[in-house]
Amino acid sequence: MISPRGKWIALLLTSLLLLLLVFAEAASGGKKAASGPGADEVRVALSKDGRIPALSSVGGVANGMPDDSMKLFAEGYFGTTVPEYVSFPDFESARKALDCGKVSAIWAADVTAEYLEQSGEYVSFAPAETPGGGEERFSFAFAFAPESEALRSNADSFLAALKALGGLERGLIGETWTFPKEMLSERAETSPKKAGRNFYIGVTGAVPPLAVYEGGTAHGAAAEIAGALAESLGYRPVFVNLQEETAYVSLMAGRVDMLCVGATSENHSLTTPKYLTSTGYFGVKEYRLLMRKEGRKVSGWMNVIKDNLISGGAYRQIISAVITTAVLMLLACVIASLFWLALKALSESPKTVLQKTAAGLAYIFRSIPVPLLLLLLGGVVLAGVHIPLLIPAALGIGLNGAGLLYEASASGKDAEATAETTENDADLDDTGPNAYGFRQRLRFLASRPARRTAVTMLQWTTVAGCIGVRDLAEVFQTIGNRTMYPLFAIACCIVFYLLAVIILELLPYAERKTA
Amino acid sequence: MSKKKGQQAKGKRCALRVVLIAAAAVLITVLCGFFVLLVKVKGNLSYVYNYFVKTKGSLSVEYHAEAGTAKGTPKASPETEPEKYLNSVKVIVNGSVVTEYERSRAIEFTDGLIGTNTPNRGILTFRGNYLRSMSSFGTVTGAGEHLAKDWEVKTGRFLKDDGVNYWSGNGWTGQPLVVGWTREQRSKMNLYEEAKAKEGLCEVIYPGMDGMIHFLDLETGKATRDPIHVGMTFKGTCSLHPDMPLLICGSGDSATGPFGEQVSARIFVYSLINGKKLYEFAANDTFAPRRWHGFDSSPVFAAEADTVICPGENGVLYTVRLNSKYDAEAGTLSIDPDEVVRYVYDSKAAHDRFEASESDIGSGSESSAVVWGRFLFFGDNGGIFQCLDLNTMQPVWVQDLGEDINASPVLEISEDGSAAIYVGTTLKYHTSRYHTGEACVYKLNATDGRIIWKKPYEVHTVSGLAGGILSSGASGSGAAAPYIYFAVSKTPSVNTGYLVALNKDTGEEAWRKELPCDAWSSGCLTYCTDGSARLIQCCGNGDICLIDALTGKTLDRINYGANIESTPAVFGNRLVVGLRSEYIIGARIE
Repeated sequence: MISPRGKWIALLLTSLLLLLLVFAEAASGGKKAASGPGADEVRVALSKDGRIPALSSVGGVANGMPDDSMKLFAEGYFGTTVPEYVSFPDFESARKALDCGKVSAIWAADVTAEYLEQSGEYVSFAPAETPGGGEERFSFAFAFAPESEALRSNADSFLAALKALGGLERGLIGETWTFPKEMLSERAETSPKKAGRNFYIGVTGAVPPLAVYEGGTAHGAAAEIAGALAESLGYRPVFVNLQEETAYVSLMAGRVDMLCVGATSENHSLTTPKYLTSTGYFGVKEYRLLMRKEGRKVSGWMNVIKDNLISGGAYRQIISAVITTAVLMLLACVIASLFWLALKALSESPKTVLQKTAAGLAYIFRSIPVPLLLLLLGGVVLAGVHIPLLIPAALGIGLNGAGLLYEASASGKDAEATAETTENDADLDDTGPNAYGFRQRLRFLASRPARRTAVTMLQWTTVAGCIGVRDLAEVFQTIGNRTMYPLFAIACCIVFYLLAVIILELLPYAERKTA
Repeated sequence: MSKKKGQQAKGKRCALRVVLIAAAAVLITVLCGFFVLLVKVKGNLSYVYNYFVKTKGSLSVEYHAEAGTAKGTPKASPETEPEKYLNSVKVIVNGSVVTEYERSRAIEFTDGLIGTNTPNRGILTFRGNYLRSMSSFGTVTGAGEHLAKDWEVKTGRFLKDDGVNYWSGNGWTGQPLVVGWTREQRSKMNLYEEAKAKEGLCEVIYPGMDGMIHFLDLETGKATRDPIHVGMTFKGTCSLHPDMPLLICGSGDSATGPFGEQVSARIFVYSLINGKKLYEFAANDTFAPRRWHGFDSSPVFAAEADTVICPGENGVLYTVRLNSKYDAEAGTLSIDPDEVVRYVYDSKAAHDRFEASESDIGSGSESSAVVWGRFLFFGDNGGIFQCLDLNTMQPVWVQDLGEDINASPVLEISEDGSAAIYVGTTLKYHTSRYHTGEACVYKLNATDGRIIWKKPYEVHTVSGLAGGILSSGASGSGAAAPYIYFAVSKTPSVNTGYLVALNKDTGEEAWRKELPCDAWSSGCLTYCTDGSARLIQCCGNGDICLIDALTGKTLDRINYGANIESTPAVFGNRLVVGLRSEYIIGARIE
């Protein structure tokens, strides 16, 4: 058992160690770009013999294809050798990985490559020749569930009108896209205030600048068009951030009514797609390999702190994530307590069936890995309910916590725990581990085993990101990728969590001190 | 007393434990056995029968003496009238359906022989020429009784259209081309300096399933120039123009991408002077009756009419006038294609078969066509074999062979003016409830399409892998002139096959060898300087067998440990072929 003072010393030592690591790496210049040819070498090789030289690693948006298959795609399409392929949940993460030097190049649709090249930081390369040459390889379109034929038909009409006005021929590259004037007035008539039910539009962020989800909303030409389409149908558009890899599953599960950036292929397919697509609104002719013009290095520890904690609105994200994580933890604790109380009540029932049911449920709750519970609740069971993702995340963690609490209480630790906190309590009904009153249960929730369970639940909050909750771990990972310095971000996150654990464990101590 | 009771209880518990452990062991063994069985029968228990029972194998020949009498210019007999089998025929010229068509520059093949009597010399198309009868080039010096491994070159793989699996190495029919360029030709090409300077260079041209066209020195296996990166997979065999360095190759499968798009397979035309793409066509054809696009068929160049003929697996037969301009001295080559003609037909017999077998609707050609005069002969996946007048694009006769025609036909013209076609089928439609049925070798009268003889084999078809004849016949000459050789897959057991020498006149077997595996690769007949005939057969187990063509005796065998679906190119004493294990290998016949 570590004393309260020991815990603070441990936190201090860990923080110092992590800081030392950070300084050491910052002093050495940080991570250099991935090995392999740089942009200049690729340019020279292409101009010389029309071939892209072997690349050390290529990355891209995870799209449901296994990494090995995407590696083959990259090799076959770009005509080069790719020893390693790495998937990322969205394009922004892939771009950050390129910036970090985790990969030497990322593939991108031509529209994305052209958009990013405008920044001057990137350069893109296409293979010398591809099948079809100047033909469109496919078109981006809106995707619908198979039963949404009427929606698809409406979308086709809407896009046809937009095309007739030239609305799809100008200004699509870039984030600032506006409707043709003729449609703006029409759009104004369909006020969102008059709109009926919410219309959920899935945005994956796989194809910037067509549709990008940022700061809780979507923007980009495709998002604009999708929103206007929803309004024209009398709905209120609500954008939902999805990952490309699971976007179609979300569509089928009813989590969204429409995907903003699906793909339609004019070419034949052996199998009929399981979803519907509208007519295309933007054609893609080719893919390109996107590389950084110059490699970047981490320079100076002050810059590291500034980049990771201050600039680019990092502090806002961190504060928001701290609040999110705290709320998540609170909700999870409440859910765990309520479920534990319910299970406990069942277990004390005179009927054996109910006792066994309680034990079985508790066993299931604590045995299923929390990430799976989150995916099940967030991605399937509650997918079509359109509630904040915090709820399924808290429910998943809380159920696991309830299972753990039940195990602790059933194994006799409750008696030990209540003894710890109620040594002088005359109301104690000491007739067995499963027979005690409501007050004892509440005391158990303040006991050491329950605190340990709370710490475990706190640790599980770090996986809430797997269903899209912007928790502390998720935010620090994003910041680390953006700043090309994941070590500092992870170190900060560790310190935050250590601090939270210490506070959680020292709460009763503080309570006793102040009493 | 209580001690005794305790011992008894302990004994009972012990026995119970033993019984439980034994039961668990039995259960695990049964489950493992079931799993192994599932693996063995390719995941489908209905194939269990096929993996434990042999078919009858070779069956009796059906002979029709009267069918062999017609001679001269092709015309239909009462049994082969096109109307009998084709519901409709459509000719589309430059995108417009026409009721009548007459080719502006008539096609007339004098003999269909290329590679030996044309400026480009070598193996220029599948099976050497447009009769598909030249299964090797040149003669073997020496005894020709041994095979020796020589060199190997690594190739690669390409993502399949399902976005998960991949094509690897070289596939069916996948015969490499081998051409001996002249010094002048070499000097104008984008060959490496070493290759340019090498006198007598024989260049291997090999499109692979890795989406690349590889160029190798036949003698050493060294690259002669940069490979061409196409970005689509090639399974079939390409063709080289007989007069100019113009390569045409059809991709065998569509390509996919990160957004699940399907990029349609198509036919590519490349200049071998600089490796640049000159033209591509046949992608995503709206006139095609079949959604599946694939172009495994080896195209035919009608050099005098400056036209290329390409049967497609999408159910369209294309002819494209190239308007080629080749200046050998200047080293320039260009084409300006026009007069794109499509021939599309609809067959009720094939439709009925597709529907009965729940197959993809529509017929297409995977096999390569043969030519005779102005006529083209080709078969399709629906079992329809037809003779087409290339100048009017109208069918002359049609024969219904009833099963999938994957193997390319072989045309043999006799001195008396008669011509015969040898072609085999694979079992796809008329399967029994046990997934067995007949696949046959046919001899057809090329004049009227009637069946002269039919040699059936009872074969298995499992897991989408059809049994029967996927290899093209190797027509003997010289000492082997009476025979034609075929490999038959999945007979008598599901994992074995036959290699047979059939008498050309009667269809009876002169000899038959049982192979320990499938053989999709076509046998190559080559001849030693003393006139003795050798048959080279590549097998699914990686064997390359050297066989005395007259007796069927195996003279030598080398093994590469990987499936060989491709047909080798045999050029003098050398042999080159691609493996599914991503290697192109060179071997010597000694």
